[in-house]
Amino acid sequence: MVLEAETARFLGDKAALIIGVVGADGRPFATRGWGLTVLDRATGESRVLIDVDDEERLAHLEGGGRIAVTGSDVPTLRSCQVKGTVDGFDEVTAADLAHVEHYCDGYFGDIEAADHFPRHLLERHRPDGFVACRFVVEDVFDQTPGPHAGAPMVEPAP
Amino acid sequence: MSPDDDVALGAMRLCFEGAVPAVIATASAAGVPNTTYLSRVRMVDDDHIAVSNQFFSKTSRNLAENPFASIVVTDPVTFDQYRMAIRYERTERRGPVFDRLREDVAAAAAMHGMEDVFRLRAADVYRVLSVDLVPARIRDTDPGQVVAERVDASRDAELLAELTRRVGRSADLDTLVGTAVDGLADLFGYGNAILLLADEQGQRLYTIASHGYDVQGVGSEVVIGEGVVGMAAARCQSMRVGNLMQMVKYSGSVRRSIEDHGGMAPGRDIALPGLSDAQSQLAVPAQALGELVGVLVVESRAPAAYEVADQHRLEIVASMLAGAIEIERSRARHDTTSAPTSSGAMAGRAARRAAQVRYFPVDGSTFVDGDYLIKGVAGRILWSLLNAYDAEGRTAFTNREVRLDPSLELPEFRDNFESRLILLKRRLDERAAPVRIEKTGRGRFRLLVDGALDLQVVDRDTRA
Repeated sequence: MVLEAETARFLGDKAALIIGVVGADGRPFATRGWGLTVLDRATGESRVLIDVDDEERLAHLEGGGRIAVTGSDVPTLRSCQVKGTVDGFDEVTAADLAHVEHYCDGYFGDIEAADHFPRHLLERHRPDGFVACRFVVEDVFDQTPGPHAGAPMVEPAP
Repeated sequence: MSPDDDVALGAMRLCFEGAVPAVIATASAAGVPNTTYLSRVRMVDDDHIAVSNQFFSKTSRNLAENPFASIVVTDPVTFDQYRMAIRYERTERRGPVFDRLREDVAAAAAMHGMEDVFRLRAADVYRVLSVDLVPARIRDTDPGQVVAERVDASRDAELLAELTRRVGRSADLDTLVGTAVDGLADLFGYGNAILLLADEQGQRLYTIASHGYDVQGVGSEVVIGEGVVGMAAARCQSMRVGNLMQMVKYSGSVRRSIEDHGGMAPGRDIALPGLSDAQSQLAVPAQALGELVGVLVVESRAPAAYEVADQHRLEIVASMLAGAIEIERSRARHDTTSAPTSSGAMAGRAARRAAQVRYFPVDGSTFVDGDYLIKGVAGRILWSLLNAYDAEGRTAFTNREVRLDPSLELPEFRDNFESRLILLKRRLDERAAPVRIEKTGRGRFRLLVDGALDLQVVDRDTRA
C-alpha cells in the first residue's frame, strides 16, 4: 500500500482523529488520537499518539491487532479512514510531545473557529500523557458523511 | 446496565443534544474495526439509546455481523466524556423513537433544502451494557464552568402570568408584538427572540418583532419548510435544536459529497435568521383556531441551551400571542372608523434634498435613496400612502380606507393588513427613513414625512 501524499498530509496535519479497535474482550473500543505521522508512504508505516490511559486496553493489539483511524477536517467534515495492523507501542519522545502541541493548536483552533467552543473547554479533552502506537496502513476509505461514506479510496500501486 | 454502574443515562442528557459529535467503533465478524462520527444519538430510556441510520454504512453492515459497539459522547458544558459499551437490539421504522430521530435528520436536511434525498431510513436501538466516565481534565488555567442561564421552572406560573398581563394591556398589534419579545427577555432571560408571522399565502414567514439583535431584522423572511424555523411552521410542531452548527456542517458535507461523486447536488444554502453563530434554536409555532399565525423563536450561542421546559413555556406564550394577534386582526377587520376629513400636519419637515423612493410594482419592492426598504404588501401600502401624500398632501389615514385600495392586492380573507402595516412602521423606524408612520388612535395613523420626496415607478425590473 502506497499512501498518496495528500492522504498523508491530511491525516498528519490537524484532522480530528478517532480510533477504533477490537478490545481484548472481543468487543469494539473507541478512543481519540492526538497526532498522526505517516513514517513511510511507500510501506504505509505510521504512528498515532493515544491517551496513555488507553494503553492497557490496547496492549493486546501488539504484533498483529487491527486498527482503524479516521481523520476528519473540522470545518467541512471531509473524512478519510485508514485501516491496518498494529506493530507495537512506544514511549513518547520530546518530538512527540511537540507534535501534540502543534496538533492541538491546529485541531482546537479549527473547532474554536467552526464550532465556537472556547479553547479551555477543548483542553479538557487533552490527555495528561501519551503513548505512540505504530501501525501499517493497508486500506484507505473515504469516510466523508453521505451516501458514499466507506467507499475505498484508490491509492497508487507500489 | 451493569448493577455496579453508577452513571445513569439521564444524567448524560446534554450529551445527546449532538453539540459535540459522538464517535462509534464497530467491528466486522472477522475482527476488522471501523470508526466514524454519528450524526445523531438519542436516549430512549434508562437502558437504551437510538442511533440514526440514513445511509447504509459500513457501521450498519458490521452491526449485522457483530452486534457490539463502543460509543463516546461528550457533555457540551463540562466536556466530560462517556464511553458506552452497547449491543444492537432492534431497528425501528415507525413509532416515537423513529419519529424523534426523523425530526433530527429532517432538521439537518432542511439546513440545505435536502429533505427529499436525505432522510432517516431507520432508528437502530441499542441496549447500553456499561458506561465509563472519562472525566474532563480541569487544569490550573481553566476558568471554570460556563453554564447557559436557565429559568427557574418553579416560577413559570408567576412569570407567565406577568407576561400575559403585559400582553393583555397592549392596546394594539405594534405594542403587543414588541411587548412579547421584550417580555421574554425581561422575565425569562431569552436574550435573543424573534416573532415571525405567516404571510397571506401561507408560504413565508416575515419578522414582525425581535429582541437582542443589533438590527431588528424586521421584514426578513423565512420560507415555510426551510430551516428549523420554516420546518416548525410547516409541521406546526415545535423544533428544539442544540447543535445548529454541527447540523449545518453535516448537511453541507453530505451535499458536497454528492457533488464530489458526480451527483446533482440537491438543495441550496439557506440563511439562518437571527444569530449567525447560534448553537441552539427553539422554534415554536403560534396557532389559533387550528391555523398557523406565526412562529416564536429563541436562540442562543450556547450549545444545548434549551430543554423541554423551555419548549413548554414558549408553547404557552406562542399560543397566547396567536390568540391575541387574531383578536386584534378580527377587531381591525370590523373597524368602521371613517376616513379623516382633513389632512394631518406634516411633522418635522425640514428643507433638504428630496429623498428618492423607487417602487417596483412587479413585487412591491421599494428602495429609498438606493437602499432596499421593503417589498410585498407592505411595499404596496407604502406606495399607496406616498401617492396620496404626493397627490393630495394627505398625511392622515384610517386602516379601513387603506385596506380597500385594490393596488395592495390583498386577499379577500385573512388579509393581515394590520400586521403588514406594523411591519412597515417598524421597518421605517429601523431604517431611519424620511417617512414614518405614527399611530393616532384605534384604526388611525398618520404619515410623518421629513423633506421632499422624489417618487419613481420602475416598471421594468432593472435590479441586479
